[in-house]
Amino acid sequence: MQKILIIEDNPMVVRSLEFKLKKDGYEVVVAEEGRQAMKLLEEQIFDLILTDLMLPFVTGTQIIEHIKKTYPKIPVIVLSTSTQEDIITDAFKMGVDDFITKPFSPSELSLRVKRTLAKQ
Amino acid sequence: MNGALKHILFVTTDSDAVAVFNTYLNPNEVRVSNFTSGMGVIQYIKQIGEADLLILEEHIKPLGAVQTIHYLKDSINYSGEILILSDSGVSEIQTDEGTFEVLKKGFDKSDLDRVLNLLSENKEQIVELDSKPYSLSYLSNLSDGDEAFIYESLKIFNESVGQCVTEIENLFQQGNYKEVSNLAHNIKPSFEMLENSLGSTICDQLAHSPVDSSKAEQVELLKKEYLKVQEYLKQDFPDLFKTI
Repeated sequence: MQKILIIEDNPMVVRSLEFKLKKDGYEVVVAEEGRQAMKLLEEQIFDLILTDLMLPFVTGTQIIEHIKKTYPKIPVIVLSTSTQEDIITDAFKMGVDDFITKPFSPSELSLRVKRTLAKQ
Repeated sequence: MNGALKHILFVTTDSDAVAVFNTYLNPNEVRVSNFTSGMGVIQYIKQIGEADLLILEEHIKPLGAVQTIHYLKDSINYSGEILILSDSGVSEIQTDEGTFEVLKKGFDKSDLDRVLNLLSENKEQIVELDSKPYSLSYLSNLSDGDEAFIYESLKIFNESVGQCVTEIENLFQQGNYKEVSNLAHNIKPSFEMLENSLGSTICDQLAHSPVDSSKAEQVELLKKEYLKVQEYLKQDFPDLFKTI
């Protein structure tokens, strides 16, 4: 089973992502902030990372930088709000694979996750 | 006007225009959902559907009215009425998708009467809307109607958003405006998942425009809107509020 790491601090968004992705047949692990995510990345192997950009303690940009440097093969999808165009552009420059706006469309999430994993 | 509640999607960053709109229009007849970007309204229409009228500020960033109309018409075949809010002095704006009437910036009561007339004429697209400050349709759609998931999500909304709103109030009083913005950004999707556009708009304004002491009214409004949702949830889901 493919394993996805969600890095997100809004509990309602987390629960929704978890529900939908588990329903789609993925194993899901959640980190509510960047430091916890970094620890999980050291301990476990993930096939995909979904990350928010505004996180407590470590910013999303720092997380992406760390992932792309340390785990360059893991694809990253950014979870953003519709008003973060500049930040999303920067994230793409750092090598993220895709982005999904919050609250996400369930079918769009399934499609983008499947497509990103298929590219691996 | 027809008895059914009409729905207007109003895309502008002009808080004065929003205030005038909400002052003039009778909330029993017209429900106004505010958005501060074309992308926000596109996302809303894709997820929820068309309204009776869409009003787009001409030069709103990053997608202006013309680009937003192009996207709506081209990608999702939007067929609803559209007005462009503009201070250019023209009465109509031509685009590749057709000619659109202008609602002049600084509009007054007579201009809004024209909006109401437009809504009255637009009888084919009347949508009966729930006047509740929340809707379960997003959560229901996401979970294929899984009641346990919906209930759990409402519980999370009530607890997490309530806590954040209190924190926002405290941080605002302490003058920690950066953290107010961060928290508002964090809870914005929670309001959106319950399709509460007022809560979402206020969060957006607190998160993405400079916050200072002048934003006290918005902080207060956000609290009121959360309490309004909570009140309705109490009526509809009393078990959510039972303590063990």
